[in-house]
Amino acid sequence: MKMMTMDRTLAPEAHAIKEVPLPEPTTLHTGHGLPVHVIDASTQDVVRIELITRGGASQATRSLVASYTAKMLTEGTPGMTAAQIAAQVEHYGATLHAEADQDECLLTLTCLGRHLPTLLPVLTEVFASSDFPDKELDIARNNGFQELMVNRQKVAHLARTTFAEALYGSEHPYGRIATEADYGTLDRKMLLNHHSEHILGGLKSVMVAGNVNDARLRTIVDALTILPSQGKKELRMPTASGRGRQVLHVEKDGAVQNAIRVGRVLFTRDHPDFIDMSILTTVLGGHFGSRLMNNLREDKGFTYGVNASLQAFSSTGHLMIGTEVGAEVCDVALNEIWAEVARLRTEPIPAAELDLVRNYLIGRALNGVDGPFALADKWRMYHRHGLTADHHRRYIDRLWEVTSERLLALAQVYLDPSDMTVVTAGKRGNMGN
Amino acid sequence: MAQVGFSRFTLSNGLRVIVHPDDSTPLACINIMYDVGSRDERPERTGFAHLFEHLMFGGSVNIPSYDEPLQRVGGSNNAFTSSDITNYYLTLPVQNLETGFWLESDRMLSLAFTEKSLEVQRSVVIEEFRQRYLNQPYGDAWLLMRPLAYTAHPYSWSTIGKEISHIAEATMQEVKDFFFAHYAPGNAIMVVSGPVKHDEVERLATKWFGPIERPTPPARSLPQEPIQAAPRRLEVERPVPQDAIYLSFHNCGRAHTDYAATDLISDILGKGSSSRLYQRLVKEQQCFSEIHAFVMGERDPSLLTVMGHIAKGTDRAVAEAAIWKELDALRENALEESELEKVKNQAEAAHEFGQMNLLNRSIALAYHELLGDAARINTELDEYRAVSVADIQRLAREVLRPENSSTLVYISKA
Repeated sequence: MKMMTMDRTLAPEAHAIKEVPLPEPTTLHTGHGLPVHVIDASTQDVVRIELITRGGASQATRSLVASYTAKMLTEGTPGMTAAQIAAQVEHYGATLHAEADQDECLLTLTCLGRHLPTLLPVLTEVFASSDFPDKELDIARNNGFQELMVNRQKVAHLARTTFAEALYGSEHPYGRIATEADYGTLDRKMLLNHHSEHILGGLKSVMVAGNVNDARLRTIVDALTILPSQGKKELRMPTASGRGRQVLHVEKDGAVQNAIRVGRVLFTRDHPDFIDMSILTTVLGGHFGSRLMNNLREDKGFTYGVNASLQAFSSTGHLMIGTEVGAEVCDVALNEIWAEVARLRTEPIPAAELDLVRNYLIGRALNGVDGPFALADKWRMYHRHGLTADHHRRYIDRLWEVTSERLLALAQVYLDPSDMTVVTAGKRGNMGN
Repeated sequence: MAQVGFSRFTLSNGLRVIVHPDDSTPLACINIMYDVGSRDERPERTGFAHLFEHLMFGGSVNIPSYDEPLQRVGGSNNAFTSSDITNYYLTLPVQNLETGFWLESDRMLSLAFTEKSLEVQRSVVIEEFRQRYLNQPYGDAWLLMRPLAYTAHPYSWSTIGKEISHIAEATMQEVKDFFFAHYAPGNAIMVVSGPVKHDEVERLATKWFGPIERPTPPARSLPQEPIQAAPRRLEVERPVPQDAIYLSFHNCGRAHTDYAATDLISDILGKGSSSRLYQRLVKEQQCFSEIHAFVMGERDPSLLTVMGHIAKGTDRAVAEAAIWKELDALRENALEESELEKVKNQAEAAHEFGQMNLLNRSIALAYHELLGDAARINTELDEYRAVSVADIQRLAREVLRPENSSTLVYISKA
């Protein structure tokens, strides 16, 4: 028997989601007073422990030091060789990995819960007593340099690094680009110094997420008591005022696509305009149905994808529009980017479009707090920027409160093309207007 | 090990539905896996399954835009195509679950088939081809390796297609034929997961998908790949900074009883910093700057591949011989129990971490159901646990032979 005919053109009733609860971590302290934030929730028996330090690129005086201190953290201690560390960690199916970004360096252990007692001592030993053996540094430096050579063949890499340098300047830690010479002169002393000053000295907190009952938590906190207390080292806050409009091109032989990066220096996450600006950026290029996607991809087929986003660091931040387009349409694509920017500065966003973006962002906010690791990531980011659950509540409220008029005014202030830097990498053409 | 709980039912039109309840999240997920991939394409029209995936977002027969109504209820979505499958998924607040059924059922019913959508998506896919395969160093590796390793089976072309012209020349009639041949309810598996109840999912599935009637495509009969009898080799000059080597071996398909052991062989060779190839060739001999090993895990007999970038200053022949020395060692000497234990532990951890995510669990359930039984999601690790030292050696001898190999060498040309 067939179903009754139904009208498939009519959407089912939609339910607006007005609230996105943000569970807070519980916070304990080690014997030395180091804060340990805990998100206890998981469908699987897994645990992730992150040691968070102020050991990012902004704290180093030259390029590569922060990233290599991180990379080399698991490459040997007086008691364990790199091979022994890898063997011990991987025997239990775990990973132990450190990474530095602009402001922080994180050492992360992820493992099945039952292997914690075996792996915690490796985590703390690596963190506290890495000694960066010359032999391992040689290998890492050679391989890193070869990776750089490969990356220089990629238009996206060329455009991204040139854009950062143009925005912040080659002397600024967010803008400097590693050169051959930097690889040549990087030495063990620099890493030892960064480790003691900014990894040990910059230890900030620990984030634990996953399946952690009370007994397990005690094991973790006991093991972490070996670590030093919270570092006294304050974050050096490099300032950036923006260097005005620049138009730059990096030539790349044989490119069939050009990479485009357009944007400007803006502000940190706690700036009063940050939330509204992030909504405006979403309208421009932050979702699949965004203005730029609709124009460059879904209408003209110029690109596989285009995106606009806000990057926020500890002392500054920026707006970046990025895409890869056919080299032959690079100029036209740039003109379309300018046209979309101009439209945001002259016409209020129609109510239906703004409503769609609100709902899309609510869905994304739900995703952003779903599961222990997502929640831990969110709180780590909040802690870094000095934000509290109140910021999250304001964000959700603003999604419903913000008006088209307010976003129009914001676009007029912050999306002025004469403040925007343009970088292209690939085959040369004109730069648009 | 946490078990993944689920229930199943099949609609009268053949659509198989799996319900996976998980109350720990406010989000629901709908995953629809169609049993069609690039292996189902004609050799003169490759890249079509993937191009078609793009067209599935160009509006359906009753709903002009797919993305807009979904985003309006807080949802997001994406899709991917492989040699074997085309998979569509969406995540949304569970309150709006029915919107997902409405959207997915309408595009299973029929597409809008607008010329504009075809024209634009042809261009978008050509840009994807350029961005990911032509404009990247080593980006054409699989465009070169597949036709070297396969002489008969359609795995001889990549999902993106053999060449741009195949995409550029696709016609609307071909698009329609492809849709009505493959996008039938009996050729799909739907997984609905999140804070959902079986009865409600069954009601919604019956309401929205029940009326879709279309014949299920007949079982495919693809040309099978003959047993390889001699080593194959292709050397290409490219403007890449380093020489590189790709070494592929035929092995069993994803559902075969030897798959777990074959997967573990690739892990012994190339998973993580403690793996044999990394320790010996990157750390000790320093003849590679990076090296990996992995299995493709396709449904028909597939490939195990070792790929590495040769360190500047190292002779290509020396680097290649160094790989073979490790492969020979695995063939000729039984490995220690502890090394096997390590890769089993890595497989278990990867399984557990992979399953933290509702969407990953949903895709895995659909894929296992396609391979024969969704319940295998909960028993697959047992197959890994059961692998013995003897299994590894038997398969190493069977797979890691020069006569079974295809070698692709990139020669750096400044």
